[in-house]
Amino acid sequence: MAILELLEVSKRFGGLQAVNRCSFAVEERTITGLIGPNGAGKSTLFNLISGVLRPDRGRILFQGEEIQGLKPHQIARRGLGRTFQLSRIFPKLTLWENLMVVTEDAPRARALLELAGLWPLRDHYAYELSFGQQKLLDLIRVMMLEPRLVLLDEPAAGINPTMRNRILEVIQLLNAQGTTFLIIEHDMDVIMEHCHWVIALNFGEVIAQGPPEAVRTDEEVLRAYFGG
Amino acid sequence: MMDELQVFVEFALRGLLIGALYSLMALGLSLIFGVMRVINVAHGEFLMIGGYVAYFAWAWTQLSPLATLLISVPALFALGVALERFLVERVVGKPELASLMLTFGISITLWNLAHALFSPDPRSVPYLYEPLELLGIYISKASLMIFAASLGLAALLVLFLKGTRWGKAIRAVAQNPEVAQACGIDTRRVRMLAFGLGAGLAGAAGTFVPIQFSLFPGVGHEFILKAFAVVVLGGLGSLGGAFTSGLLLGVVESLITFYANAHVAYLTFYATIVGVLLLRPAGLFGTGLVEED
Amino acid sequence: MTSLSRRGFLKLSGALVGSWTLLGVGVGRGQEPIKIGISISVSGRFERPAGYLFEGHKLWAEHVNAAGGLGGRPVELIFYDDKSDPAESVKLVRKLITDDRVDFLFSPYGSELTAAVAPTIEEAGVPAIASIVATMKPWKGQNAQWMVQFSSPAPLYLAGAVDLAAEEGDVRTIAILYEDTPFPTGVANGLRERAQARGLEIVLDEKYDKAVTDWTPLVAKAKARGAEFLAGGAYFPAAVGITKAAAAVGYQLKLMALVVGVADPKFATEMGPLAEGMAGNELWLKVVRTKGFLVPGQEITNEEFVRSYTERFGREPEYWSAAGYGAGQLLAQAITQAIEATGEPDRMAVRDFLFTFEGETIYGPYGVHPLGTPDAGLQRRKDQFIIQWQRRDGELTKEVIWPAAMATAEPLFGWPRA
Repeated sequence: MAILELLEVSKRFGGLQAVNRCSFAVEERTITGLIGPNGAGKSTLFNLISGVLRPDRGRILFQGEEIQGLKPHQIARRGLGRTFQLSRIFPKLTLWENLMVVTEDAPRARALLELAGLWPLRDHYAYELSFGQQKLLDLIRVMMLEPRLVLLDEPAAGINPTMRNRILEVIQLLNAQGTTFLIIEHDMDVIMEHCHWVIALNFGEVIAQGPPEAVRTDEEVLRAYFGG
Repeated sequence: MMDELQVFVEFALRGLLIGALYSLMALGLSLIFGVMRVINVAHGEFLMIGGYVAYFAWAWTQLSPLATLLISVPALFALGVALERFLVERVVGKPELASLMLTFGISITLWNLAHALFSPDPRSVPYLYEPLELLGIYISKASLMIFAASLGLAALLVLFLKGTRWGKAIRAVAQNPEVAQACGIDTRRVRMLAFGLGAGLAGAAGTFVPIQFSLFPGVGHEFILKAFAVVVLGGLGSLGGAFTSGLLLGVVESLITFYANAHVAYLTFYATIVGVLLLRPAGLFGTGLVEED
Repeated sequence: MTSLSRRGFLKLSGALVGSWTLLGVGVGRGQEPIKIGISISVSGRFERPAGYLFEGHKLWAEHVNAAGGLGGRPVELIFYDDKSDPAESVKLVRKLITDDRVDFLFSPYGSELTAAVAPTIEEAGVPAIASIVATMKPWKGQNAQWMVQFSSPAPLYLAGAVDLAAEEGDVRTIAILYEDTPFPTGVANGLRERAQARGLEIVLDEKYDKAVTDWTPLVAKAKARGAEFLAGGAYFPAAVGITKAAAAVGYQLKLMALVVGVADPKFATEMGPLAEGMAGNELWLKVVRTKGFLVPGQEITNEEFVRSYTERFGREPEYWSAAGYGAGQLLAQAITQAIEATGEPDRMAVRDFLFTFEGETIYGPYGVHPLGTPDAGLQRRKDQFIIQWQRRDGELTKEVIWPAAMATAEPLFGWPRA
C-alpha cells in the first residue's frame, strides 16, 4: 500500500516549470530512490511534499490524507520527516538538545544516539561534530518524530566511505524497523544496493520508474544523464 | 579628596551596576533579532511602557517597586505577543528595511500615545535611594537591587532557554528556522514567544527606570541608542555577548564620565557602534546562546 | 448657526479689543488719559499665562485710577488680541503706536512675542516694559534704547543662591552641572559669574547632554572633587535625577540648589524626605515680603496686592499677575517722576528713568544695564527668590530664604536633612 501519493503535482517558478504533472507513489516500508540530473526538480519536489512550497496544482496524499497546503511543522508532526542536502543541524545545541527539541522523549533520544554511535558525544555542541557525524545527527533527529516516511536529500554525499556506510547501515536498520524512506541520491551504487524502487525525474516530469536494475538500463534515463 | 584608586573602583563598580540594566535591555533586543532577524527599533518604547505600567502599579497598589515586575513583565509580554501576531509577523523574512520601518512606526506611535496618556511630566519612584557604604565607597541600595534583579532575570532566561522545550525551540529557530520547521516546531508561535519575551525583558528594564532614573515618554530614545551599542558590541543575536558588553559599556561610560565628561561618555556609545561595525562586525563575543555563528 | 449670525460672531471676536479705563473718584473729568498699549494673547497657546498677566495690568490701572491717577490724569489700557501669534503681535504693536497713538507700551506675553516686537518698538521710540520675558535676545549686545526687561533673564535664576551660600553658609567650593541647551547654559553663566565675584572656588564646571538619564557619575564626580555646594540643573527631570543621584552616592553638602525643577510642588511629593533642604528658584511668591510704589505718597505691599487681586478676580494671582502689576508700578513711578520734572508724562524722561532707576516693586528688585552700554535695558538686579523646602509642622513647605530682607524663613545648611 502507498504511504505517499502524488497526483498531477505541478509547480512553476516564473518561466520555469520546475515540476510538471508529477504522479508517483511510495510504497510503505520501502527505500525508494529519487534520481535525475541536476535541475530535474528533485529538491523542489521535496519542498512540495514537506510543505515548504505549495503546489500550483495537484494533490499530495500522505497516508491517504491530503497534505498540500499544510504548514511544514504540521506535516512534520503527522509523521513525515525530512533532512536537507547540506546537513542542517542546530550548531549551538548539544546533540542531546538537538534531539530533545523535536520531542521530549528521552528513551527514544538515547536509543537513537546509541544506534548512531553518538551517545558518548551527547553533551557536545553539534558544531563540534565531523561533517559525517552531523549527517548522522540530522538523520536521527528526524527520527525523533517517529516518522512513517522520511525524505532524505543526499544522505551520503560528500563524506568518506566508512562514514557513508555507517549512515546507510543506520538507514537500513531504521527501514527494517518500519520506516519508509524516499532518498535523493546521485551515487548509482548506493541506489542499486539499497533501494527497492527508483523514480527518475527529468525537467520536472517522471520519465521512468521501477526496480533499480530496470531503471538503470532505461533508455530515457540514460539519455537524460548522458545526453544524446 | 578621595584616594585615586578608590575613586576608580567606585566609578567602575557604579558603572557595572548600571550596566546590568543596559544588559537586560540588550538581551531582549538580541533575542528578537536572533529569532526573527528583526531589529526592533521600538524596544526603547517597550522599556518606557514597562516603566509606566510599573509606575502606576506602584502608585495605585503601593506594592514594593520590585514586586511590580510581576505586573510589568507579563503586561509587556502580552503587548509583545500581540504586536508580533498582528504586525511584526508580516515583515518576518522581508528585507530589513520593512521591519525597520514597521518597528520605527510602532515606536513613534507608542511614544505619542504615552505622551497623550501619561503627559510629558517625568515621574520617579523614591525607593532604596539611601546608599550603602563599604570601605569608603558609596553605592545606592537601588542600584544593587537592580543589578541583582537583572542578574536574576538573565539567569532565568538562560534556564528557560536551556531547560525547557520552548526554550530549545527558540534556540533551534534562531539557528535554523527551516530545519526547525522540519522538526515539527511551529516557528510562528516561537516568534510570538520570542518577541513577547524580548518585550518582557524591556519591561523589566523599564520597571527600574523610575527607580534609578526618571520616567517620561521620551525615555526610550535615550536607552535605545545604548542598547544598540551594547548589542552591536556583543554581536547581534548573541545573548552572552549582549550581557557582557552591557556591563562593559556601563563601566566604560562611568569611567569616561569621571575622567573626561558626560558628553564624551555619551559619544562613546555612538563611537562604539561605528567602530565595531567597521572593525569587527561580528562583535567582540563570538559565542552566543541563541545564534548560529 | 446661520451665516448672518456667524458673520456677526466673527465680527465680534475680531472686535475683541478695547480700552480699559476705570475713572476713579479722584480723577479729574475731562483730563486726557495716559494711554498704555498692549498686544495680549487673549486666545491661543499663551491664553492662560497672558490672562494672568493682563489681570495684573488691569488691577494696577484700577488701583492707580482709584487713587486719583498720575498727575491728575487717569491711565487707560488699550489692548488687542494677538492670538499668541508673533506676526499678529508685530502688526498690533504698530497699530497701537500709529493709530491709537499710545504713550507707552507693555510687551506682549513671553519671550517669543516680545522678541518679535522689539525691533518695532525700538524703531518707533516708545518707552516699553517687557514685563515677563526670560530671553536676553532683545538686549544682549543690541544697544536697546526704549524697552527694558522687567523679569529675570536666565543668569539671574539661581545666582542669588551663590550670594546666600557665600554670605550665610560659609561655602567655599561650588560644582556647577548643567544641561547643554541655551536656558540652562544661561543659568550656569550666571552661577559662574557670581561664584567668581564671590570668590568661591569652582571645583567642577561641567555641561551634560540633554539625553542624560543617569546623573550619578556626574554627581559622584562633584563629590569626589569635594564641592560643598552643588548648583545648576535644567528642568524637572534633572532636579529629580540629580537629587536622587546625590543621595545614592552618599553626598553630604552644605547646599544644593537646582533651577526650575525644585520649586515645582511635584518635587516635594516625589522626593519626600530628600526634598527637605533642597533649594530652588521662584520669580515671585504670594508670601514674599516685597512692596513698592503705587501713586505719589502711597505704597502697596505684596500681601495687599494678593488680597486685592483675589477679591477682584476670584482667583489667586500667579507670578505672571505679579509681573503685570509690578510692571505697572514701575511705569507709574517713571511717569510720576517725568511729570514732576517736565510737567507732563514726557517719553524721553520716562525712558531715562526706566534705564537708570534701581528699586523694588511687589515683583522684587529692578534695575537694568544703563543706556549707552551694549546690553542696555537687560535686567541685572532681579535675582530670583531662592526658596527651600523646609519642614513646618511635619509638612514640607516652600520657604523663601533669599534675599534675606524678603525671606520667610531662615536658610538651612546641610543636605540631606534626614
